[in-house]
Amino acid sequence: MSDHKKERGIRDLYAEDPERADWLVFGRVPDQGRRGFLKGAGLAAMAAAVGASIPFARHLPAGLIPAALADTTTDFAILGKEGLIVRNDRPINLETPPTLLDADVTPIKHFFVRNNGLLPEPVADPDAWSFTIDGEVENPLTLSVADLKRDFENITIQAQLECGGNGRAGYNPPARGNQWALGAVGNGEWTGVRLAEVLNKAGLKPSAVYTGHYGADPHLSQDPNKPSISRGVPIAKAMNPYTMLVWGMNGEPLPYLNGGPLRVLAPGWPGSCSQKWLTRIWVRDRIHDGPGMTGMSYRMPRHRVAPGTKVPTSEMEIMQSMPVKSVITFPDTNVKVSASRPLEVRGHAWAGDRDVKEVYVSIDYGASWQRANLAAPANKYAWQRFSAAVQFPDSGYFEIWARAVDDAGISQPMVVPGWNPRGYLNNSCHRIAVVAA
Amino acid sequence: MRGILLTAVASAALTTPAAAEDFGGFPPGRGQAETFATCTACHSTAIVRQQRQTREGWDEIITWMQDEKGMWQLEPPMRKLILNYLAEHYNPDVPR
Ligand code: HEC
Repeated sequence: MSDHKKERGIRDLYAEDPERADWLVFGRVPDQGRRGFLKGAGLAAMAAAVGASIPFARHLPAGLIPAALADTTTDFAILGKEGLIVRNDRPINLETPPTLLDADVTPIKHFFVRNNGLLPEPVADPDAWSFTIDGEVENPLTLSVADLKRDFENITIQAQLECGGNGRAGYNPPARGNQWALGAVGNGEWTGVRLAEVLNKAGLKPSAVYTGHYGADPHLSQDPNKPSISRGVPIAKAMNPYTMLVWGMNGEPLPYLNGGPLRVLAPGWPGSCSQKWLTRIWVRDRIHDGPGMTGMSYRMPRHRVAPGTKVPTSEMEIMQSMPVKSVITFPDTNVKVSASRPLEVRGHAWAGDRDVKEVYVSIDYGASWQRANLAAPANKYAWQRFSAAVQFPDSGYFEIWARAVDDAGISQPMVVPGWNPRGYLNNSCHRIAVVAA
Repeated sequence: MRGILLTAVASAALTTPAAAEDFGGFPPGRGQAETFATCTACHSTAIVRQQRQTREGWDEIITWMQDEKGMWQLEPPMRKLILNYLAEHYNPDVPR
């Protein structure tokens, strides 16, 4: 993969649009004279980045990259993120390189970001954030985050969250959309309440079929009547005990870039089911038809098609659970290792609504496979750690492949799976290159 | 407003060498300024530069943006200019 070419450093962002880079990197809003920091917005972030307070901040021109950072190409923070591949800066779409997925719980700073729209206005008091539940319910509700915290059982679970388009870059002919390679996935530790309890409080009518989720992120065109995206889930998934309304992540308030103050978490399903900056759940009497539900979006052809086929919309069906998949998080690809002793290989495996039953690794292009150690998930929907010690028979160029099998006996394919018009669900084996000497 | 922006960008293109940095990384060529001005009204060039599509693929993307994403209609010569530019610089044979 040619990821490194696409990785963009702070200088590229500043070259493209200095004032936007100021805002992206530090959250900075200059005051009227294009200097200083409007109400201090972004000053703390910039001070943290340069490692000191900035005494003459009021004179600092907007869009001027701080000299202390001018030579940094990696590891700078975009609104609290570090080391991520910038697939897009407006809307912000950030991918995690595989080695930064090594921890059991993905740190917030390394957790991927998939946005369809602009960022909503940040809020001062996350507990005051509120959303409504209406539609096919007996009692429409408006609840704040404080209400959720007080009136429902608070739970914390680990769950992996993956963009439906993760792996899209592997399809040929190319599928349009963000060209995610491997890292539009992460495993968070989420705190919130069960959506089922909240829906029960509202009282689902027998006519309830589907949820429709809405968020506060403005549409890219800034048309206030257009939602950036509005997807939902069948009532059965909404009532699943692991489907949540989430305000906390990894022991901290849910970060703004990952949908804070409040988001849906529908684990194991395409990330787009887990609406960020939640403002409304509209309980529908039919399959939800908001932007992202219809046409070709988040849909797969009902029957397998040859690469490049024009598939009519009527032949497309809504994606549900994500497929079995794994990623090698250690070592990094292109490492040099010793051929004389075993190499420890490790990573994570997950399987949407299912569990992972087995993981195998191969050092001979899939001709033979060695079973890896596989840990149980921290809870249902958490990803599972695998590890294996591989011994190279000789020196030379090797590839390490990893392949997971789910509890229904379905394996990851070694090559790119069925081509589909929008490039979803690529769960082919992850491979890394190793030179043994 | 959009018209003014477009003219300003286009005349800048006539007087200075059209380096890719000035156009969000879009390489020089006929239609560079027009494509930049049209396609960055809502998002950055990054979502465009990532893609490798045939002319037909690009045509569908523009139609999709118009049908679903609030993009305005383009005069036929402008649409053709932009399509030619995209198909030349971002087709499946161009290495990523
Ligand atoms: C009126 C606003 C608007 C304009 C103008 C616009 N786009 Fe878009 N474009 C969007 C939105 C909204 C999306 C969806 C973003 C998302 O969901 O991530 C999008 C997505 C895309 C995508 C990704 C396709 C996909 O399936 O996800 C491409 C490629 C693209 N635009 C190309 C262009 C090009 C080329 C132009 C200029 C001819 C252009 N856009 C102009 C609003 C616009």
